[in-house]
Amino acid sequence: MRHNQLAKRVPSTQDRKHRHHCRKTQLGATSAMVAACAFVLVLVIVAVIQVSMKLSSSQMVRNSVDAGVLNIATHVPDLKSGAGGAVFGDCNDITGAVGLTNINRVWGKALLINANAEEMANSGQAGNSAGSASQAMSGAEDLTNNLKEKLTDKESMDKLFAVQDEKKAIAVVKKGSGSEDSEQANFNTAYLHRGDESNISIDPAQFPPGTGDKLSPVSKGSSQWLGGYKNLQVNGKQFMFVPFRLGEMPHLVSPEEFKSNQEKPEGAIASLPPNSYYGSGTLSGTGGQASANAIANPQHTYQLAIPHAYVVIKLEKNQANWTINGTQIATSTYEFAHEQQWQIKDHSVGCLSKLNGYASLGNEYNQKDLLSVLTALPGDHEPAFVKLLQRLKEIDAGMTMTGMKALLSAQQVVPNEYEYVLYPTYKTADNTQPTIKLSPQSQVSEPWYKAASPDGTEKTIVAEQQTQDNPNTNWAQIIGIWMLTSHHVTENGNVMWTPGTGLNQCLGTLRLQRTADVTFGGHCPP
Amino acid sequence: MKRRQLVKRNARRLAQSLLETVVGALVLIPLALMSVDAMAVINANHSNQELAQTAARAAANNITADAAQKIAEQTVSNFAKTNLIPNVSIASFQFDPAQKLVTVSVSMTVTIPVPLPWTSSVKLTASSTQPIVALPPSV
Repeated sequence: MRHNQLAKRVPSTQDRKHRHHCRKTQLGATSAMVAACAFVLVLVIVAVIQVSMKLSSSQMVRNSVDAGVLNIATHVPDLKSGAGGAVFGDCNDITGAVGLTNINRVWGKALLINANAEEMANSGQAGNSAGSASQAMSGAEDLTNNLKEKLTDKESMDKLFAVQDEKKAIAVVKKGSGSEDSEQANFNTAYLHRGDESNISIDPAQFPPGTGDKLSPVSKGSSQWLGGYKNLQVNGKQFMFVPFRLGEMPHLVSPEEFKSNQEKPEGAIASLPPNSYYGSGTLSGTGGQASANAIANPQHTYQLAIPHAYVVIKLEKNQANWTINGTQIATSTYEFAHEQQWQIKDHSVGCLSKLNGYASLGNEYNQKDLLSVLTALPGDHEPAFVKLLQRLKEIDAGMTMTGMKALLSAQQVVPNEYEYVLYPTYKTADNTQPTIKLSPQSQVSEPWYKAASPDGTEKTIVAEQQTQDNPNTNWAQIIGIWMLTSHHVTENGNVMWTPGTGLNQCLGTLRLQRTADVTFGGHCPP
Repeated sequence: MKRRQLVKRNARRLAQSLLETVVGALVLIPLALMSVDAMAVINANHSNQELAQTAARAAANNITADAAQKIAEQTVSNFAKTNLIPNVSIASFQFDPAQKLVTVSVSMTVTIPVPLPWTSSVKLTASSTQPIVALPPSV
């Protein structure tokens, strides 16, 4: 049996060939497996490196696009629309231009001009204020149109987007990657933080009565701010400011927030400046793409103001009416210093008698300051001071009644000077931090000052109470037998207010006019 | 006789397999170890880029060069060092208020997990430039 089995195992020639082949195959099997494993391992390593490179490049493009868009948001306030011109030149920044930082200041001035116009219309003193208000609006819109062009100019955006120099990684991000849809399209923009504070702080007392009630300012910090991207109605016109949150720097914002605010706020003018920007970039060679959105913030605030403006106090020459027994004999004027007048000279009064009439006039002005002059006659002068203060607050919100009266007290009335100007002086090139001064008009030396009449119409706001023989007096010399029974100087006055919108710098004129009646009474002896 | 030949043949086969395995291991093991090194370096490079960007962003929130550099250094020093990354430092710092750009370069020493015959560590440098957002415009 065993022999038979052994006999069966004797290989044939064919078997031997097969076994030789199998042995050769077995001999190469490990090598092949090693080669295969090495190949796979190399493939895996290459794949891992490729994936890492891809991840790294997409991180790079993300970082680059983030930096690029953030750079746009940081630098857009440097894109300017040019100077503010004749109407808004006082709102220029220190570079003499209007940009995203101070465009709200321009609109703030337009808002005040319109608030003044509204009040003037309400009080029946409109005059030419409607035209001034419209002119302010169109001027502000022109500046805003120019600015919007700058803020959405693709070339400017491209420059800002390429934040780093050409050798650095960011440079591989293709420039000009604005809209993903079209190479020609501008960078996308959005209007974020609707209803939040703008960079214009206000004091409600800056507005003429009844005009600023619907503004609903935003309280933030210790101040109140005009709201941004919301309709503010004044004088029947819509105003919209750009919001810049207090204390925030330019920063990235989420795509969701950006996309949900791409539509302009309702009622906005076509050129309303955006405050947020979008950019996308592609990493050359890798196809890595990223996009980012950032919101700008100039981190600079202003007080609502009409920087180049003034208020005038006008003292008219006083008129003296000289009468004897109710008949006017003469008229004269007297100014701002004490003088003795003799206007009735040898006037025949009957019974072969003559009267010489004298008066001591101007005593209310003699060596007096402006405040004393304004209040020389009894009466409630507060409405006049309130008008003055409100307008001064449009120039300097920090002005107080006490401060204003101190200025009036410090200014002596000067002979032959009929107009006194309350105006601001600035040490800063951008007309901030005003100091209000009071000078006779001839001494106002500010280069921007242009004497102009207010664009409203006049109205009496204070009717002074009549005084008698105080502070002026009269006396008579009778030649003959005519009997002098009475002699008085009665004086009364009015304070008139002519409001101005401020478009031509003049915010109003307070005019003081007084009349003295120098009366003599008597008769011939019975 | 035949049995001896059979044993001899098997022994030769075993030896050859062993030899192939050894040769294979000589190829595969260095490859595997190099892949570990490569992964470590790639990871470190990624971290370095992130760190440079974080430091630059932190610096960009300051208006003076001193404060910006201080915060950048603080950011880099806060990086958790490991056996693989024993040393991280700021290689260069540029604060350009005119251009409103700050550039931070971070240098990172990476210990190679499986030392190579010619080196046991590599030095990686990454830089990031960010706009200085804290600087207000000239107005």
